[in-house]
Amino acid sequence: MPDLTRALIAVAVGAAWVLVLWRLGVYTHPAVLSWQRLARLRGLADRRPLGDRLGDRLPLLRRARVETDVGRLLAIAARRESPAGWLLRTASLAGLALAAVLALDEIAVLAGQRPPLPPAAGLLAAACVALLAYARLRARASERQRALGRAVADSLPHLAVMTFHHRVPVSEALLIFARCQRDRSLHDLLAGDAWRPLVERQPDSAAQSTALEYERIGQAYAVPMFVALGAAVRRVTERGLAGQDVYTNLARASYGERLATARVAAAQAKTLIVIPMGLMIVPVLVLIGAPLVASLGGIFAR
Amino acid sequence: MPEPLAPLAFAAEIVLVLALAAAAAALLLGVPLEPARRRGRALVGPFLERQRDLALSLGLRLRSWLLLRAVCTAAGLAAGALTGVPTLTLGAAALGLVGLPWLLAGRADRRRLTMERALAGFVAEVRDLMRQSNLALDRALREAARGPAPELRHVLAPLAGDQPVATALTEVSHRARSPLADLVVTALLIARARDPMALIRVVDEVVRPLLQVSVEIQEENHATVAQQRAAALAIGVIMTLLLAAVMRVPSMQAFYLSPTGQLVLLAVFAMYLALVWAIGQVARPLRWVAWDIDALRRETEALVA
Repeated sequence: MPDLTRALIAVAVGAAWVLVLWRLGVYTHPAVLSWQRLARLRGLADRRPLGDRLGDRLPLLRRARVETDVGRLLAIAARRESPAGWLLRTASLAGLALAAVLALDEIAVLAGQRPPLPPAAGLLAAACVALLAYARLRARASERQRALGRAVADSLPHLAVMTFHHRVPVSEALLIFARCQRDRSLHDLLAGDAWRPLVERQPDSAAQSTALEYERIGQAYAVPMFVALGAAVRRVTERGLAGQDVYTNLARASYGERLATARVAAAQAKTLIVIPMGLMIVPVLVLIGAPLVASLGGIFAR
Repeated sequence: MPEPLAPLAFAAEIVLVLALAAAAAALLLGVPLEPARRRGRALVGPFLERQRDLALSLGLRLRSWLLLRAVCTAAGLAAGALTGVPTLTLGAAALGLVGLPWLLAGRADRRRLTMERALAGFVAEVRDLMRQSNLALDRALREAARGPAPELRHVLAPLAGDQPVATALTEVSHRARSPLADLVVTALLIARARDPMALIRVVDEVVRPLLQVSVEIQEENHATVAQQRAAALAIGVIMTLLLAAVMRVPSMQAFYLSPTGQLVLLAVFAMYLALVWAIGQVARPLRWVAWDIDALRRETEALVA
């Protein structure tokens, strides 16, 4: 069998060469190159990373990218650390878990016994620590999304009342109500433009109006109430509808939706509660069966 | 023959050094370290708030409520000590500590729901007084607060007194400790310094319809929580009866007095708690935003000024 190493190296180098030439645009028609340059200069070209562009074509990939985007989750959860900092901290905790398992084995070996856990258990513990850290971050992000949605929805009646009595811009009124909520999530988001870093990661993120700002915040933070509020503000400012009607109707709609959710939850509870009620048989069996099993075990041991 | 030491120790040391290096790098990158005191306050704060809610909903002071809980814990401990089983003693004490608020929470919720229903009637009365008797809002509020429904007597007492209406409204909100009361009070605080006719429109078009829907939401929430509480209570009663029956059989009692039996009891308690937790996860009642009414009063006064 001849040695194929050199041939394979030659093929790899050739492929890399062709790829570089392709990336440099040697094979591209000059007219296309001119158009690409012009589009770049005019801001018409899509300059997002490859992953984002592929995500447009493959929804599953986009979903996976969104779910695993630590930077986004950190921003939604209002954590101040950077993604690199979070990754390093998680890696350090996972490493400590692995080191703890290995140290346990080492102590057992020093005592002249067999290691109680295989080294793979250490890797498993480290993976569990990393997964738990990610799950915790996701839970915090989801909780903050819910808190933001609730904060906006519960401010809507007050916004509606405000439009009857005071001529205050919606953005200012929302900030006032955010200051008056015991949960600081909405205030922390709106005060000092804390929302900008995440919103500006999106393409075409330049917001020229309050309505657009709220819509962008809603999309970036995945809080539908912000999108709805943005649409309401747009109806008032751009189409000239009466603010009193628009905000009152939005408040009614959001409360109606909440009522529907509460009804569904109450109806579901009736049926779903049967599952834990049925599982009650397990502790009952343990309570009755444990003494019998113990006595049988004692008889067989003799 | 022991396992060779060197590779394992070497691997552990390398992993430890890498982990410490990663931690140091994370600190350098500015990972925030939450002080233990702040974390403790974040845990204790909501607990105390919940206790205050429960106490006020039951018409008790916080101190009396905490004393009642302590007495129930001691009673549970004493009842458990009579069995002579350490696990049962601890379990009965825990039941005394946790069971009382859990049992009374339903009653507190019902009282609050009744008060919230009555609040809708109060708003309608204020509106009628403003429209038909042509009274100003402050006057209408005081008039309506003088003959309130029994459920609202304690809550509306500040409005029947002599203190300024804005202060009295915030006190009403503090006493009611209800999101619906917060909705009414904030709407009145925002609207009170302006045109009375506009306020009547606000009551007709915003406050009353939303209050109606909110009461329905609270009713559904209450129905959900009541079902969960009834299910958990049923499981608890069955388990207690079964345990009592089991402990009357001498051989089974001997088993449960042994260390293995104690472990089994602990496992059974853990399973019961897991079931109660699962029941709570089946459907969660909708939450409302908690308002800082004092801050809102300051903000609205600043707007008017």
